[in-house]
Amino acid sequence: MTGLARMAAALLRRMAALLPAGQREWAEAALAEAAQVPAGPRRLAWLAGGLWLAVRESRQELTLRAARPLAFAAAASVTAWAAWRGQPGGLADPAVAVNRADMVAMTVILTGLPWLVRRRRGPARGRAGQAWRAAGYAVILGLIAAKDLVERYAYAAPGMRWAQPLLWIGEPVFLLVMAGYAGMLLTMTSRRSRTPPASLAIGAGAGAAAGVLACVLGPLGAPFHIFGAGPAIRYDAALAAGAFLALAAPAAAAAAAARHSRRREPATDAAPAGVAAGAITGAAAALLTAATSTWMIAALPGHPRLLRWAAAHVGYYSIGGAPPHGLPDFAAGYSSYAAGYLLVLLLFPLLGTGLAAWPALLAAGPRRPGPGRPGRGGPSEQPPPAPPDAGRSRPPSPQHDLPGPAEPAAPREAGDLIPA
Amino acid sequence: MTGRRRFSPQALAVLAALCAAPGAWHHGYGIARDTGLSSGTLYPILIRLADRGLVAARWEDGQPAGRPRRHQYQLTPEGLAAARAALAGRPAPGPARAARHRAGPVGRPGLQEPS
Repeated sequence: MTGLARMAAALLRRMAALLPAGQREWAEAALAEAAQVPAGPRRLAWLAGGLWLAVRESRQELTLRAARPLAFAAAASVTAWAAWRGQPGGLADPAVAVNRADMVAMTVILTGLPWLVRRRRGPARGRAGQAWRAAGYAVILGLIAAKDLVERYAYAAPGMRWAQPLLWIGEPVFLLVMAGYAGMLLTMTSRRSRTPPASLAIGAGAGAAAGVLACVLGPLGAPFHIFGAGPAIRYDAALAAGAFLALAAPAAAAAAAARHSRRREPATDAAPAGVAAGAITGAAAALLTAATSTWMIAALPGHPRLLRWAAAHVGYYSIGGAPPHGLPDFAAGYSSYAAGYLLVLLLFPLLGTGLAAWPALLAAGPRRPGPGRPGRGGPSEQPPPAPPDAGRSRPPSPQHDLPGPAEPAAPREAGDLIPA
Repeated sequence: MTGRRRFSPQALAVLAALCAAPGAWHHGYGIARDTGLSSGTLYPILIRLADRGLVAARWEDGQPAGRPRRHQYQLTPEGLAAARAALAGRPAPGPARAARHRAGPVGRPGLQEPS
């Protein structure tokens, strides 16, 4: 076989591995058949036809596979640009060096984690899993970019020089927390995840609602300054209701997810499904609140009108009517305040889990006996069965240079369909 | 129902090749040799025919020495009936008709996972 034909065969083998299971066998058939074609131009033409077949069949898959890394690369590039710029303060500003180290580490983490999770838990669980991953990565990258902008401003202030060493202490914690969020997102959306898709959807929805509520009632993480007894009372009532709803969100999500899980056949473990929904609610709310509020804080210094509005209406540091030279101090105050969202990111998932435990157990009710579920235990600890081949290519056969399939595919119809 | 489906001249050629020995399992290269079709044309046609349930496909049993296992194809009973009906009504090929058939229903290979 010529070198060109070998290359074409190797390419066809790789492309066949990209195809979904149903179409892969056809590309493999063309590859296996190439061994029967006389060597030379005819075999090369045969393999070229096989490549054309694989391209035709894999167009959609290839587009999707290329689109995801490209989208991530674009988003990461924008974030890196935000982190790499030397303003303000230039390299003298310690936040610049921290942000650059942060960006390199985060790129390695966010790129390496999908590979690691894929090896252990399989690829993303369908289109929905890919969509959740894309949304989660977008929020994480947005939060990193906003945090970097805030740090540039906060630590450039002369009054904050004393706190500069804290940057190097806080940064690994932030990286670990972000890696935890990304890892949780990837694991829960993977094919062999034990988290039911419904728990993910319910938890993320409830968390997003709680996050939006928190941002509406207290942008910048602080309440509005309301003047006048009547509006103040109404706002306080809204705050109380909002706090109640935000705390109730994990419990409600847990109960809904546990009930949904109970109705499924075969029944899955309802209580863990509910607790997972509560944890996801807390995590989603924390991530969304931290990202939106940090972005708003990051926007304050560069947008005087927003800064004046926030100074007059939001927060404990409200300085309505203050002279313009007081506004940078206000912005710097909030910039240092943004570090508190690290605590939010750490504690909200735990809070969500805690608040979800009891409602999940109540909604799950007694375990239903069923086949393979004896008594109270049952095989609930068994992982779900491994899915069929997730697109990996089969090892080449040592007997020939053109690989054939390692196992015969199931026939479309059993036995000979037409009598001889 | 299947008998009323129209086939492209290339698909008809594939059906004719399979119909020549309806009880036998055929290989891709053999069909290509009989029909003169390239692999890039033949396999999309086979995929579409298999998706329609007109052709059954399997990997040959056992591991032959010195070569990979081959993919084999055979007409299903529905495929045989459809092929016979289509081949019986096949008009004499003319340039205009052949050009029309080139944009026929088997022009695009099936993208659905075969059942």
